Amino acid sequence: MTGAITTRGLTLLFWIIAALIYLPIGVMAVFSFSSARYQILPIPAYTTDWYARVFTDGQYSAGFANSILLAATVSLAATLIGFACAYSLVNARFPGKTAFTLLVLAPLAVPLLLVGIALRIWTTMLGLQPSLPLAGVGQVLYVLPLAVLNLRNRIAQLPKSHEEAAWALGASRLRAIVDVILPACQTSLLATFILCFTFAFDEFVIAYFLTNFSITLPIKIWTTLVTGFDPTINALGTMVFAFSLLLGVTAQWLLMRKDP
Amino acid sequence: MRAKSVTLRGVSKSFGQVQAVCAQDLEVRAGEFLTLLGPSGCGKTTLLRMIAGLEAVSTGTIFVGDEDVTSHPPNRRDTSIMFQDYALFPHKSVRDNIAYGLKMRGQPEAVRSKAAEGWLARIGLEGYGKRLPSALSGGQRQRVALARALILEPGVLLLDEPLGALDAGLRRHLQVELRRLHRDVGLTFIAVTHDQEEAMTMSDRIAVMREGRIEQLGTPADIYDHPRTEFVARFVGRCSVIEGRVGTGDGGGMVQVETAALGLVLAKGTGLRGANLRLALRPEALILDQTGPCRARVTDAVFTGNAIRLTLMAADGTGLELDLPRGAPVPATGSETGVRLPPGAAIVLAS
Repeated sequence: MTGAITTRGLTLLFWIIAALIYLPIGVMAVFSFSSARYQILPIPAYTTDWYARVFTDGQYSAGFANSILLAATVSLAATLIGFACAYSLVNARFPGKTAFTLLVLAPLAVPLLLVGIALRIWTTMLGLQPSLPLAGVGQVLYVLPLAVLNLRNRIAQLPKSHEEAAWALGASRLRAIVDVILPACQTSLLATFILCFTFAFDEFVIAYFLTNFSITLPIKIWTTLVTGFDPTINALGTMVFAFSLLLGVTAQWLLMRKDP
Repeated sequence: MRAKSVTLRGVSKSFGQVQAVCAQDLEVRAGEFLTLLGPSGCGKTTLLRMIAGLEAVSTGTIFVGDEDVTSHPPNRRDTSIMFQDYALFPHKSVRDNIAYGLKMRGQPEAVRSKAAEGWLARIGLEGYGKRLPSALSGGQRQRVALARALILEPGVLLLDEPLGALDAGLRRHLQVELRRLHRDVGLTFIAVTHDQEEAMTMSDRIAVMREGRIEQLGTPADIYDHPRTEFVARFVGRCSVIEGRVGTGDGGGMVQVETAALGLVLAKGTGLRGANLRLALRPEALILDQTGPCRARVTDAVFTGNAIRLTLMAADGTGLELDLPRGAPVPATGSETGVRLPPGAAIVLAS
């Protein structure tokens, strides 16, 4: 009996937490269709004007374009570097391998604010101007652990004999990776790319510290909120949330589906 | 001739503190079928992988033909390897799997295609070229893996437990197939197995391995009839072991041994007068003879298909196994009977 009660309690807890997370987003989504400038009830009339504003206001679309470009480049780089890291972590035997693994994965545990400040100080010392590419480099550091973890798991599952068979048939190390390992990792690579994309697309702190005038979408949202509330943010936020949710679910679905 | 010899000189391999292979010399002749036979963990697979270049040697030198390949990577050795799990590339078609080696050699598509089709016909899988390996049965995959390994006509084909993943009936059939294939292609085959029957059926010579060392190297008949150690005698076929002391030497490769179990025995081998030694007896070498000089009690009788295997207890308590041909009267369990040992039926074992 206590088991059933515990289960019911946990289920209730889950729904409370889910409500705490999703209710505010739901509220935002509802008000994004309200014609009022402020979030008041009852809602006077329903409209899609704010959504139209997102697309007509050049600042939002510029931020959106910057964010897409940045996230795509960052996740591509992180996926490729992550694959190389993961492959060597699985296959290579070298002294200090454990320490190296921890170093690669450590950014996951460091508060993002510290990473952002550290990067800003460091790049200033090196005399680098804040820019979108610089923010990209910073974001690669941020999402790389995710890529390495994902791909390392997949590569570790692959039978070593497949690669060895390719070598014995005349393939070089690189050729065997291209012919045998990469095709077996297709799904994982795609999932990793999408996962990195969602993280990079929403990333605010590093982008804020390392860019100057090229504004990404999260920065645009933040500056808009600082200068005074604009209901367009509700529409924009709802769209970004739906987009991220779609990508996240796709990535998880791909990861759960087994590579052939 | 394409076939190449393989020569190992003082080859050893250690993984950390574990010595997997200890300073082994081995001479594999060009064109022969040699099997490394031994229990799991005896170092046979490690030895094979070192010949393939998949494992670096700790010490020693490996020659394929006249070429020292010790430091060559696998893709620069004239060897090919077939794995126990076949290691077919799951996302490539059967045809592309077979042709992979030619592709790595830079052969044009037309040549690859023709050669692959030729091999598909040869292994009885015409029309299967476009399928993925997952659509094939275990036996079919095994043949595809063989074709893929042989398409480059390597000087040496290495087979790691080639039939290990198949069921018993198919395995027996494929042992004969593999032997025929070896004769047809005329290449050097080196296989690894823990199955003594498989080794006997397929090989020209067998190297019995134990704890990283080759304990005995010889033809199947040689290994079976003249096992040098108790380990080899027990691993290759069944046998009983009895103890005795050397009496007057007889010469001619025979020695007289005084045993507690069977009295005076004329055994194959040599021994110093007065030395204690151990003798191996194959179950089919002992003969049941009611009037025989040695008495033994029947403790069990088991039907093995082509014989009745009796378990006997000699007067001194030593256990013996004896194969009774089908049709011969079977003595009752618990009864006393006589046993006879033809001269040379017992084999002297190295201590």
